[in-house]
Amino acid sequence: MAKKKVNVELNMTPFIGLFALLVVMLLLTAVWNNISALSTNTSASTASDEASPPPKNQVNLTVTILTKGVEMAENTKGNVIPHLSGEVNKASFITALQVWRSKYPKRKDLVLNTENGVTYKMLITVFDTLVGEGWHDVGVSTQ
Amino acid sequence: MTGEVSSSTKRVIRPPGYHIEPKYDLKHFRKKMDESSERDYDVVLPLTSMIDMFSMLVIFLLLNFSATGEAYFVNKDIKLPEALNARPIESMPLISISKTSVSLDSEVVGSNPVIIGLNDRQMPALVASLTKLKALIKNQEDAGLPVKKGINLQADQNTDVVYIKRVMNILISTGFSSINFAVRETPPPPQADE
Repeated sequence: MAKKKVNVELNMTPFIGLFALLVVMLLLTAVWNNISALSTNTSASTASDEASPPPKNQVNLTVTILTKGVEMAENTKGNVIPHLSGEVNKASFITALQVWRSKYPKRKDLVLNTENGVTYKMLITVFDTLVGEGWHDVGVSTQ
Repeated sequence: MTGEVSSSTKRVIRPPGYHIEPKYDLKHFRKKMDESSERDYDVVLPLTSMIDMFSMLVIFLLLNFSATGEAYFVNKDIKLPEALNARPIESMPLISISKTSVSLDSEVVGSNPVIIGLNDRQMPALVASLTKLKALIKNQEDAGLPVKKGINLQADQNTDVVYIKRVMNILISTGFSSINFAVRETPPPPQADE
């Protein structure tokens, strides 16, 4: 029986060709900016002929970003969570949202109001926290 | 080839050797040329390191891969705020709001940048562009083409909300009610080991 040759050299040319093609293709399709979006449907929070009115007994949940804090209101009565060194007090805000969640387990909608002086960053911080806590249907008021 | 010449003096004939005078001789060059003729051209390229590099590049690029093929341009004057719970952005008309201007699809609306001031609440150039865009969307819709009716909005994180709300009001009045706020995606914080 003939002795089998074991010192085989692998042909690397197709591998290198494949890798080169892959690198070029992936470079073209790479995303260098991780941009995402927080969506709002403003028709829900502004006067519109098409918007259906909320049920009569439904409590209107409203979060208002003020320059001094975040006001959380059920219909008209609300309490203000003061900012911590100019930033939203996220821990207290999340706790308050969890209280609302236990009170209204099926609700996902609320209206987000803003005072004119607050920054866009603050709006996004509050919006992001609301979405993170399961309030996916946030209507941003433009009033 | 050697031989003897029949004469009074005996001379030995030798094959001619190198005969260029030392003045014109490029000694080192000659040496190099002589060596290169003996060089082994059957060189094996070490491919292991190259394949390693390619593999790492492919893995890195695979992590950044996007199958959607959508490009998104961030204005250099705009620093987007960060968010944890955002969803992937879709390709839609883009409105950029910076401290000095409002632009639609990377083009400053109007001949001059629109100064964001409370005295300029109407923003006629933006309204005109949005009306044109709305008409274009309607035409596409009538033609049975798939259309996206929303709009992407990007703004600098330090912009006052009043400017955002002003643009939003114009968007609503021109029929764009679905607005997506562009944000920078941040990875979730690492979970503490228990």
